[in-house]
Amino acid sequence: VGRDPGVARLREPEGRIMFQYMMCFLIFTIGIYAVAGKKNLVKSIFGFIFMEYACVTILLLGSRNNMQVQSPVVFASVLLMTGLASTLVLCALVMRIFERYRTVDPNNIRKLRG
Amino acid sequence: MNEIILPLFIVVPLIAAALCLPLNYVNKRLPFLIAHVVTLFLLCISIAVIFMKPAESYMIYRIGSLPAPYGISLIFDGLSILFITIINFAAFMICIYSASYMEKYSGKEKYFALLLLMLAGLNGVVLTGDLLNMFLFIELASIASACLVGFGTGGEETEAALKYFIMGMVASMFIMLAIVLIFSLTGSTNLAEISVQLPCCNIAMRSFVIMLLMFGFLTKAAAAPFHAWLPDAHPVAPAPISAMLSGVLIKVLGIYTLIRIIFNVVGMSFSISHTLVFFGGLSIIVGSLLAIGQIDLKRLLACSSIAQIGYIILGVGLATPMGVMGGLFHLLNHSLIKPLLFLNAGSIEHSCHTRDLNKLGGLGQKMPVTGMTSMIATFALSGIPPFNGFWSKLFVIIACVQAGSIFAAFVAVAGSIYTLYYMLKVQRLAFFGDLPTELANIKKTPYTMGFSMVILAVLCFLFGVFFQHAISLLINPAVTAVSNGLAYGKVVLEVL
Repeated sequence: VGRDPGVARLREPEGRIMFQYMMCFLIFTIGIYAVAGKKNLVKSIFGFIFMEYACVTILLLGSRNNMQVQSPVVFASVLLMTGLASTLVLCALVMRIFERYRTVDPNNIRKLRG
Repeated sequence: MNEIILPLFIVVPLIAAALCLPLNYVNKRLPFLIAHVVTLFLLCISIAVIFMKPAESYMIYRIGSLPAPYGISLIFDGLSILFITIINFAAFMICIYSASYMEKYSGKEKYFALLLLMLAGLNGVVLTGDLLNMFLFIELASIASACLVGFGTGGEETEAALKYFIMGMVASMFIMLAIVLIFSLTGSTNLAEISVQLPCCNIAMRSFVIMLLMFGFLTKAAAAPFHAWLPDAHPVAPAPISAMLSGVLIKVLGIYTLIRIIFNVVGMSFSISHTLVFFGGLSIIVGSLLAIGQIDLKRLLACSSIAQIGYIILGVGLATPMGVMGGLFHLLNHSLIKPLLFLNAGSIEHSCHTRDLNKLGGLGQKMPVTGMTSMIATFALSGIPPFNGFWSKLFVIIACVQAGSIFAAFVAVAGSIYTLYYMLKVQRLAFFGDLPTELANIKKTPYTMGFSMVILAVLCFLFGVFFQHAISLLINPAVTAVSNGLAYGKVVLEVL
């Protein structure tokens, strides 16, 4: 389905491919930092979106060599869909938190502990 | 032709969940009826499918009849038998219990719709033979369970749901990264295809992927360093949902996926085994120590879940046939005992409107069914013969000694003693002693709630007395499927 030997493979220097992967992992780590380190739940949501898009970009980078039997584009759209669903649920929860506590700082809503 | 039954496990609850909301406008009782009929039907076909499956082979259903790497297939083997039975049995018991317990909540149609969605996700995780599908079903179950945790919509509930969902999503993101890297390495998401291709890949890349997957699945299973969300999320949910989360969900999303990927897809190795034994032992220690200090009944039970998950990971991580058998048998037993304890806690909360152990006492006379079943569950969980928990803990400890890890065996024994301590504390504070005056005229437990608790307690006893039969019916096929190891991929690809 996705295998298309007729398309000439784009030859790119190894260094540039490595650079692109490194950038994707950097975006992923920025996402982790935003989720774990930021004192604002809205920024955490952005962190999740960063992580998700880094994954999708790694998927598309990794499937340039035409060895895949399944279509990477379908795969990528499925991942985006699941990410969208989870992000929406997360947004709903953050809105509920804001309605109740009038804050989006996780340090101010500590009713539960550890 | 028997394999036509497999998609029913996923399709029927999904359709029923979609029907719950519109049919509520026709009659308020219909969602309730649908949930009961569907869970009973799923329980029946999950028992039927045990006897339909030919021994030592796989039942495979190809969606759309497409051949192996292109189409998606549902694969049913010995490991799936164990988990399918656990999931659908627990779901049926919880549905019966919910009938009376959910009276005080509004929006029951949403509750049953979410419960059925979660059931579809759990069945899907267990049946699918495709990594991407497994991820989708994990997400489905996680989203449904996060909504159920926050079902009470109070401040505490919303906060716990948010914490649970954020931790779950971080784990999901790591799993997603691992799946994407596996797809780049092998060009497929079919588990069988991956298990054939992955051993040829770059060793550094493979280790990185395994690390990501283990982090993700251990977080989903609430093993020790990644357990922080569990003591918050499980107590605030409605009691039947706590029972479902602690009894089934963490095992399916964490342990099943871990076993399937580690044993059948990437292959067990010395270092993975040591890592799992370490996390298992750590979970036993941390879970037991956390549980001792709790005075909130459901929070104590949730902390105890961490310790029991530790036994399962310890047993499975030893990777000897005895260890895997002990771990999986403990998984089966814990999926009976922990729902029973949470249902008891729900029954206490239903009658006394508090979960604080210091405000309870003397409930043994007022609530005889809850008292008796709770006593049985206490003995079973802390490993007192002849109840089922004794045999599984014994198998895990013997397996530790056989594998030469005396320290792990020591930790397992110590964890068992701690379990006895904190469970007897619950018994003493809640069911013995003097009845406080404000609890003098509490309501009796409704019959539907008592029914589920009695059935679970009887099964705890029967699985302890006739443990050989339970092992030969449910555990041995699972151990065979696990110990097939990487042969899984070759066999499945031949059949596909």
